[in-house]
Formats: sequence, structure tokens, C-alpha cells
Amino acid sequence: MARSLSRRYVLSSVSALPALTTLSAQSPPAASSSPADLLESARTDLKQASAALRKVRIPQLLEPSFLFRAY
Amino acid sequence: MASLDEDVFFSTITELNAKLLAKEFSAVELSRAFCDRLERFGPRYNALALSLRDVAIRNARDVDSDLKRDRTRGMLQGIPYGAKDLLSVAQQVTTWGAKPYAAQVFDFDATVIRRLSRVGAICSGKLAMVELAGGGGYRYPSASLFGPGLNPWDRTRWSGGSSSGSGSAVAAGLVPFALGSETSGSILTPSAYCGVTGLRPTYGLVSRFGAMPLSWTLDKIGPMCRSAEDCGYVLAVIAGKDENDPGTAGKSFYFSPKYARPINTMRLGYNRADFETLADAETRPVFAAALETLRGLGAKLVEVQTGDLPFGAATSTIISAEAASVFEELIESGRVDELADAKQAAGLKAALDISARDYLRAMRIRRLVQNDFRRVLTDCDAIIAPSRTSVASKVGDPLDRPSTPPGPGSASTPAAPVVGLRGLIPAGNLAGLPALSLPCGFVNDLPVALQVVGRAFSENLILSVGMQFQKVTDFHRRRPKV
Repeated sequence: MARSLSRRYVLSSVSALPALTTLSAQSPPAASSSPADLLESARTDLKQASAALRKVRIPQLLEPSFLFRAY
Repeated sequence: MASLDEDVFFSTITELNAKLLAKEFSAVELSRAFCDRLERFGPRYNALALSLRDVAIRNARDVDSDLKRDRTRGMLQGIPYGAKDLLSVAQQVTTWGAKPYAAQVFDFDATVIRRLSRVGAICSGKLAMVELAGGGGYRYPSASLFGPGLNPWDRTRWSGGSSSGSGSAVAAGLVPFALGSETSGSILTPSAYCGVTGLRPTYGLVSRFGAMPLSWTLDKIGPMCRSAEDCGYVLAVIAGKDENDPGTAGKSFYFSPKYARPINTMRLGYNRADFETLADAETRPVFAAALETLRGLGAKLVEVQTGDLPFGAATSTIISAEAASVFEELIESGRVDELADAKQAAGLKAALDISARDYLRAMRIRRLVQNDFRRVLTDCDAIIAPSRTSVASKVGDPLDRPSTPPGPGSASTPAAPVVGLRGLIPAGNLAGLPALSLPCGFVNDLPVALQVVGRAFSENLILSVGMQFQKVTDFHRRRPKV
């Protein structure tokens, strides 16, 4: 975005904001994976994506789909 | 609760506009009734992030004052709507569905909110979403500050995401329409699962200023409504160039349903495998009937096939890399671990290490994808496919697939994989193409939907397909028991 966002963080807990709905959040089912396992799994996913991307023959002159305008 | 007939809550924008102009009720009465309903039933589906009742009633009074003076401002005047909670509304909490941002407040309106306000539409509430629009990849529907989006057709089922609240609120008649967003599937999926009509516009048609960025390359904001026609009216208001969003294409959108192109002049591309093999068995008769309806309307269906490109890998690389940049501070500070879904937190952390080489590769492949669609859409006017190949999943079921695919020669690897247009959601998003999700039937009382994908800036054409389909079917008029 062109303009930086200005934010005012209200230093109160979620439950102190009456306009918010009562959180009926259900805790996710206990993950069978530890945070380390999940991080490893995420890295594996990215490696697989990387491998899939490298199988594509890309013409040398093909530009990435950026759009930049100097002004 | 203000006593309006139940039918009002399931009326289209066109119908509500006519009733307002006929003074069957005032804008204040309408807003009050919808606010009551949203506050009462929104939590039942974990759909409501924040009621904006006071602001809504105040704005509705202004609308009534205008209507008294015959100052009409179009179809959306006086119509309540909900906004996905990644859109900023000045001085109101905008949580992005995520605990680290639960108390976040902006002092300005998103451009789409401002444009709707200018024509007298009434924002009655912020609607729940998957945290951070799911950009890090999430395992469970409960990946949200507000809990899992629950489907009004069956509350043991997911509403879809990441525009979960938008889908369920429209389906349950809590708002006449909603704004959602899509990076890769987040309008089409909840629209399909909740049985509403959702439009993902062409990339750059609608300003994203004031919306949480997830992927600058792929984010789009679009309407989720009770009909294709309604989507057209909303898009006409929110579309257009915005100097605050350099990603806008500088194009406007003018909607004239009277001049919709007849479907019997159209060639619609499809792939048989999507409907006969890849779709879940229970959905296939519904999809077959929908294709027959299109043929019955005179559309010529032609088989098409997209190229063999890694749509999913390119999309996930782009989204992950850009999301990691957007949320770099969140990740580096460790606050990312406050997210409800541990897999999403892990995904964002891992994404910080995506190489420039991979990112650029994905962005170049994106151009190949764009060219491939140009080829396919030379032979047809639009592409038809299932929005999703199954009905809504159970809320407790994990959403992700295993990270390690079966190796070669394993029993679960088919000898000749059926491809169809299976990657159409990531592919269509990569190419920046518009898509309309149309309810096309039910399986065990759960909605099923078609998607219609068109060329860039062909929203009028895909809406035309939708309107003509909805003229001869009533799936979009059906209502869940709320």
C-alpha cells in the first residue's frame, strides 16, 4: 500500500471490549505435531514447492509479472 | 427484534431496494432488523466479529432523510451489509481474525467501505475470518480469533474460509450482502460451501487500500451476495482506480443487467474429468444436471485443458514470501505464536527463508500461467468448473493434505493421474482472472457450486452466465433453517 497505516493499539484484553462477540472459539484439536515438527513440515512443503518450480523451463527473456512505474 | 417478515432477510438487493422506495419500511427499520438478526444469530455461526449497530442506525437515518427528499443514490442505498474483518472501518476494531491484532484500530475507512458509504449502503457489522486470511497455511477451521466458521446449512460443517463470516452471514440472512477477499480461494470456497453467490473480481479492479495485505500479487476484494445480479451492483460501486492503491488497474466497471450477453451466444470451456472423476461421487449428479441446464440455455460446452504448470507451488511460494514480508515484525517478535493455528505460525516462520530465486521463479511462471489462460480463453468465452469438488467438510476435520506426497510405485499413486482443471483456483488467482461461484444444487442439504472463470475484466460476461443460470434455477433462493 502507498500510505503507511497509522494504528492505535488499545492496551486492553479482548474480553474487555464489550462490542466484540463472546469468543466461542473452540481450541483446535490437540496437534499431534510439536512446534518443531510443524516448522520442519512447513520447510518440507516449501522445499517441495521449490522443486516443483524448478522443473519448469522458463525462457531466459521472460520477465517476472511485476508492474513498476517510475514517477 | 424489529418485526419484518422473514422473507425480507432473504431478499436480494434489488427486492430490498424496491421495498425501500415503496416505503414498505424505512432504512432505519431495515438496518435495525438486520442488526438485531446479526447480533442474535451471528455468534451461532461464529460469523460476527463486531456489530456496528450505532453507526449503522445513524447512517440509516441519513438515508431516510435523503429518501424523503427523493435524493436517490442507486440500488445500494439503505441496504445493510457486512465487511470481512480485514477491512478497516474508522475508529472501529479491525482484528484481521487474529489474536495479536485483537485490539487494532485504524483511523480511516478502507476505500471500498468509503465507496459503499457514499451511495448510502449501511455497514452493519464486521464479519469473522480465518486469522490473517490463512496466509501461512492452516490446519483446522478453528484457525480464527472467533472460532471455526460454522455452516448455516449444518453447524457441524465448516463455512469455508477465509471469508468465513461473510459466507455464513449472507447464507443465514444476517446481511443482504457482504464483502470478502480472495488470495487463493477465500471468496469461492465459503460461497460454495454456504450456497451464496460470490464474485472474485479481476486483479486490480477493486482497491485494496485499507485492507489487510496478505499477498500484494494476489489479493482481491469482492462481493458475496444472494444473486449474481446483486454481485454486479456491488461491484459497480466498489470498483475503480484508487490513487491510494497502486495495484488498481485504472478500470471502472459499469453494470447493466438489461444488456447482458445472451448465454446462447457463448462457448463455455470445461473439462469432463472435473465433473465425472475428480468431483466427489455424491456431487457428480448435481454437476451433471448443472451442465445440462447450461446446455439447455443454449451455451455451447467445449472441452478445454490448461497447461501442465505448477499452479499450487507458484501460488504458495508467492503467498508465503509476501505474507512473511507483511508479517515480518509479527514473526520476528514471536507474537506469531499467539495465532490459534500452530501450523499457520510455523508456515509464516518458514516462509521467511524463501529465496529470492524461488520467488522470482514463481513470478515468472505466473506469466506463463497468464499466457496459458490466454490460449485457453481464445477457444471459449469462459471456463466452467466445480467451485469445490465436495461439500463442506466437517468442522473437526483437518484441512491440509500430508506434506509428503506418496512416493513413486506406492499403492496410493494412480498410474495415470487425472488432471482436469483441478488447479483452477490457484491458477485463476495467479492469472488475476475473475470468477463467479454459483450455487448449482444440493447434496444431503449441503450446497454445491459451479465456478465461472472469465478473461480479465470480463465480469459482465460471467455475471451474465450467472444471471441467466439463476433465472431458470432456484438454488440461490433456498434458505437454511436459522
